[in-house]
Amino acid sequence: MDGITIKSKVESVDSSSNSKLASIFCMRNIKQGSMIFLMSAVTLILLSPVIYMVFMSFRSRREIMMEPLALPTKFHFSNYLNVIADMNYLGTVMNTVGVTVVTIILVSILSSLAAYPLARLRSKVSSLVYVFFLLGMVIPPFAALTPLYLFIRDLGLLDTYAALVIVYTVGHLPLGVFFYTSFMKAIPKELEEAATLDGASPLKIYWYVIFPMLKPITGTLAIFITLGVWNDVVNPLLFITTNEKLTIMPAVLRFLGTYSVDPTKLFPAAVLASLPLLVVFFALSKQIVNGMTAGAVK
Amino acid sequence: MELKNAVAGSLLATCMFSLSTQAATELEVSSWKGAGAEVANFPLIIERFEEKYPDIKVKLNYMARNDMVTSIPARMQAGNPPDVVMVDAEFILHWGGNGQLMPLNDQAYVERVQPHLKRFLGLGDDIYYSMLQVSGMGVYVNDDLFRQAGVESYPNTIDELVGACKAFNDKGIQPLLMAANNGGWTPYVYFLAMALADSDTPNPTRIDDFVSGEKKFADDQAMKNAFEGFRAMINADCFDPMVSAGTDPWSVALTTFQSGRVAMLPQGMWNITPFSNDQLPENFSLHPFPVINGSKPVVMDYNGPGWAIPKDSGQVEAAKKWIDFWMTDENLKEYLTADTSITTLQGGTSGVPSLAAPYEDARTAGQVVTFPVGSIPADLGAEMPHDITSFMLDPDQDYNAILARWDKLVEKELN
Amino acid sequence: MKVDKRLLFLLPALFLYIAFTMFPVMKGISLSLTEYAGVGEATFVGMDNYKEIFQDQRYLQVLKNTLVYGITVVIFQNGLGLIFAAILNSIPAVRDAIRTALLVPSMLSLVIAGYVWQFLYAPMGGGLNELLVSLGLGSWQRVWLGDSSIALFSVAAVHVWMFVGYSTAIFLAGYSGISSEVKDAARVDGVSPIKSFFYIDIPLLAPAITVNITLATIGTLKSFEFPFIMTAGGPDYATMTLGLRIFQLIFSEFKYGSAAALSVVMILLVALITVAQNSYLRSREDKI
Repeated sequence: MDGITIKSKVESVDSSSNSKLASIFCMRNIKQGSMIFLMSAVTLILLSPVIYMVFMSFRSRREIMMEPLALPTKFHFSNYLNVIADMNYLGTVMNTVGVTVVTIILVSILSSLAAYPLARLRSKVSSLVYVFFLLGMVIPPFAALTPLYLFIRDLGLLDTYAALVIVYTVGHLPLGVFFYTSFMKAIPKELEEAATLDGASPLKIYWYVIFPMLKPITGTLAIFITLGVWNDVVNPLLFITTNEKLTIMPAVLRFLGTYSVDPTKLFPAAVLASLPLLVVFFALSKQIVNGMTAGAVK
Repeated sequence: MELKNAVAGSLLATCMFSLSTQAATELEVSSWKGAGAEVANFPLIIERFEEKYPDIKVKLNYMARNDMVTSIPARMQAGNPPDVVMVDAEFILHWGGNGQLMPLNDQAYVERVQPHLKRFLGLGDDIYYSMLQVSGMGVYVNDDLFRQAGVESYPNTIDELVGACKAFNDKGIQPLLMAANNGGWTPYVYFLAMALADSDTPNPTRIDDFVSGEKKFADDQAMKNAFEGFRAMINADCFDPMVSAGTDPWSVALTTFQSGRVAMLPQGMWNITPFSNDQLPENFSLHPFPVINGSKPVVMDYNGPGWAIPKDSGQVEAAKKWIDFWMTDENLKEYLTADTSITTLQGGTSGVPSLAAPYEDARTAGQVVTFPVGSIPADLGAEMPHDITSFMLDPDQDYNAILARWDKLVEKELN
Repeated sequence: MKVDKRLLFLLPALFLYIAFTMFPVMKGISLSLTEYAGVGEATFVGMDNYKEIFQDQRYLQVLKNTLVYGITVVIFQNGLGLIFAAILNSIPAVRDAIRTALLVPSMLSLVIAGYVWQFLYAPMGGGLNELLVSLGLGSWQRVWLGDSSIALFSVAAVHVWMFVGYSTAIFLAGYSGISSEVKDAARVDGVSPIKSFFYIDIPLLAPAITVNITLATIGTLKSFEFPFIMTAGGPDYATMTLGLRIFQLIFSEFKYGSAAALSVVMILLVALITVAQNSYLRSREDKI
């Protein structure tokens, strides 16, 4: 995409005279350079609280109190070791990853399946159902905890990962339906029509024609779900009673005492909690960002 | 595939879980102390308990206090609560008041609790919990800054405090921080200390008269004087109202005091341990609050948390053993030392170091009031801190209007 | 009448959604007609909880705070996001790297970001004020969370900080859909970049604007985490939002009935605003 843009720009400039070209190029370079400088500065400013958090996580309590802004003089890795030991780090990360992956798979299948008729059928029923789903995004947290708990108990799923998977899956269905419906409307109908003429059933068409085209938007959805699961505190504490099964955020937040906050525990725990996300994000940034951006808007 | 794994994993976990329970009774204890930021010697006490009762295995379910508000009621409502829960006065009021806690009147520990604390153990005639500790609020003092400003003796009254503030301000030292971010906790506590101490030996049940409607806030001179006390402090620049309003009492206020930026900080006794561990400030002590209505400073008791048994607890016998085990001096003192607080047992050992001697002396002399959480209606408890913070930010407003509003809230609750 | 088979595809999601979301929510909000402490029996009180909400002066301020918070965040998050995206679109060399970097704050949990900012906003020795002094801007120091005239905006700024990367990414996606021929043609015709931004970019970005504004509106009107952690609604109600008030009714006052009633009010409010917004934005899209 970038390649094409640049090429077409160059071509369009080519048509004018050479001296003009040189001056435009020069001007554009200066302009581009200053824009790059400006955006880099802005980015650095926006990232400074994160950098501050990382620096703080290596400092001792005493250093933090006496000079809140100073750089670490010596890296106190002991902060990290203490926290890692206290929070069963690897275990909670693995739990969270497992629950997240299963949730993403379920949400993407269930909500894309539901979005297919919603995007394709123009009837009162389908637009009503669509609005009914969207209502789910508006519901405030805590509105239904006790009835939900009773339900999960009656299913015999207390203290299981399945409880979390169900709650997260259902919780993200409205978002999934919102994303997939708007995305599917932009997919041309011709492909399906050809397949229908070949005698394929609607389910087959969905699975072999539609679903493969949903990859980009699924990337977007996956990010929303990951952030949602990763940062949730309420549900694990409600449904999980065995410490070994906890997900990451409740394990981090236990370092916030009820009546005092210890920065040498809070900051390392905060860094550790976000670290797996950051690693995955940077490793997959190309795919994720492309998917996210392609998906959300089309 | 992954789902299968997750389900299989949880099935496996359930199997292992049931295997281990065959060997022992498992006692699930939900608590907001015992791990993370507040370990409070729990591992030692649990180890001792399991040694004494080898057939009981303790499963400590640690979560922040706020998170208990979400998870415990849902579990109680479903008839599936933990076997033992940590509760405080507020939980007693709401859970005990709605029949969710088991009465413990016939338990042996009750007789071992200090007599004047017994009325706080439950509601009406029912006893619902074992109070583990009395903690308290007072004023932390940076001794070095006092010396620098030449303030020789700790102020007993607001008048003396105003004098001290001048000395501090002359030396460019910020005298006091009334950290009010996050709901106005410090001004609320300080206000109550002044308002509830209507004399040098305050009546401990004074607040009850207001809650029952017997006395009116708007008619009470001591309450009005407490507002005047705030005015006097603000006029003497004892603290900066806006800076105080922007400072969080649980995090930022502590670092501000520890780093020597302020001479006095009203805070809870539980900070003695972290301050001492950091050796910051290098020299500090804990004092009572200077008063407006009398001549002797007061401390504020904070009735601590303790153990209760939900009515649907699956392990009542083991739960009772757990409670009794904690309420013996040899075990309780381990907890109290780690949590620097005062014992609730007759003849028990408190865990308060000597730097809190001024505080303890005042308490022993009866110059003490009790933080009224759980003994006042919830919306009054929610409104008062806001109103006091609002007064602190705008001390010219008419406090009679505020007091009248509180009376209205009480009336509403009584109807 | 023949029913389209594809309607059957709705059933699994619809079933789960009704069973695990709508059914519990209906039960939950039916509490709004009761007085309930979270445990034990709920007492039926009719419309009392609603009456209380509409009679209490303070809720007027809560509503105002919520709207101001929402509008501020939606405008700044999307305004900045749009500007960032426009600039980044013109510098392909660093576009992807900066886009990723801007997303980093949104990877933190709200709770943790709130605590970090509380340290940064601290009035004495806080990161922001100390930084201003070291930059020679001491007069810009403020009591960010304690001054009731700016506290709400200080909290909103953190919200914008956290999610501006998200808006930027979505706008950049919109840009990738604008064909370069259009922009080049405009440039050759001598249209200034500013003009081209307003007359070409913005109309063509309409779908991205719709998505961004919808998500940001729903997200901010519901949110309670930042004011909860940074100010608990203070000083003196200056940062009390609807979401936080619901949270407090449950957590510090044990008034589940009032909380449910306020939740109903909030659901209606957010739904109303979102629907109105959406129909406006969609009609704008269609016009283009």
